[in-house]
Amino acid sequence: MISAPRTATERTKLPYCHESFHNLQELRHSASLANKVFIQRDYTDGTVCKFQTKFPSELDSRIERTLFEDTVKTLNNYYAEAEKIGGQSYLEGCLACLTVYLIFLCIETRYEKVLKKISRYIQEQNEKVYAPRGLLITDPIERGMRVVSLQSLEMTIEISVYEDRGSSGSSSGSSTTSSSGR
Amino acid sequence: MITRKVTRKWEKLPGKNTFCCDGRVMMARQKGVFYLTLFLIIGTCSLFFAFECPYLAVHLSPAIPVFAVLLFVFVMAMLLRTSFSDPGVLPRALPEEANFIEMEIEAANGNVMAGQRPPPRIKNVQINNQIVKLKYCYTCKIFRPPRASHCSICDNCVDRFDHHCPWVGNCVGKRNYRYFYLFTLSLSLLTIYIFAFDIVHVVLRSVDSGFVNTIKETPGTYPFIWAPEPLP
Repeated sequence: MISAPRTATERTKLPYCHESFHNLQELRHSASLANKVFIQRDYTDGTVCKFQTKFPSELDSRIERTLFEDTVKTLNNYYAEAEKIGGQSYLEGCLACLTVYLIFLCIETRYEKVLKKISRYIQEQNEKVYAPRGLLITDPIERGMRVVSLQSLEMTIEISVYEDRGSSGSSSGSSTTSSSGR
Repeated sequence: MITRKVTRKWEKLPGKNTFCCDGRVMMARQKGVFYLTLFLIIGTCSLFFAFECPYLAVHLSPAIPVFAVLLFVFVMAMLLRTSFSDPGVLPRALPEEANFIEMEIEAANGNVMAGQRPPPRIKNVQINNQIVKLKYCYTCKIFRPPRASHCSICDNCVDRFDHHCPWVGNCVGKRNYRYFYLFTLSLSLLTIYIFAFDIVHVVLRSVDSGFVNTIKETPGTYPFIWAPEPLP
């Protein structure tokens, strides 16, 4: 059963900090107001999950138009694939109903699989395309599929050390404050 | 070894929900009516299994109680799934997004004279060549997507909000609509099934030993006898 999201603040990975931080640390951003751009949903084709590919003017100097549009179009394609109703989703539904939905303790629905693919894609895009340009895309699932937010990385980052639930080692990273970006 | 408590998202969720089992269970605050629902379903079914099923299994077929058990398990599973799952709560806007939307609204509305009511915050979007008005939620600070609504009992905006069901102890929205529908459907089936076999049971016993004796012998029918009494 998909329950309420359980992780704390957004887990973001910055490539140039990757060597010094490992998954024990959470990053907390304190960004100033004008540093975020929000891409809204595109409802022209109905209520299916789709984001506007219109290039926001604030990003004019930050990233190439084609790269941005490619990212949003790929995201839209992934969401269309996730919401597609076909043979597999029909079988899944019938099987789940027959097993009183206990089957979802063992297998993942198609939608969840595609959502995982999407978050891997966003992470990869952040590492390869957006972080080198000082930007960061957030996964829209964290905002209830309402917006895709793009934030600038020019801000102070406060790093706090938390022990990860799964790790049992006594390694501890140091707590530092640094400013990243250009 | 540093052990610091990891803060879960549900601990910080604004809104009047209660959580159990480390966030796996999400319910509304008032659960009294939900406990009543549980009591009614389990109570009537256990009366049926205790008093009617032995007779029916012997005199008619053992498949009758088996099917009743399966149906009962299905009803309980759907009820628990509806009550405990997230109905599709929309996360509230973070401060940056709220400010961004405020600026958009101000740009659209212009200046408002002091003392005058500000115009209602509405955004028009075109969905499949039809203009739909999206309303602004003052609590969550977002423009609600189409078919989303704010539940005042749980203090959350819920996607494809149907209603807040006190019997189930949770809102019914996009993510638990399927389970709620299956719950009501299967509960109706279970009720009709139990009622039908109650009547069959009383009839069969009456054929054997007479109607009045049957009522005396079957405690399970007492609720049905007492029920008509308050009526004039």
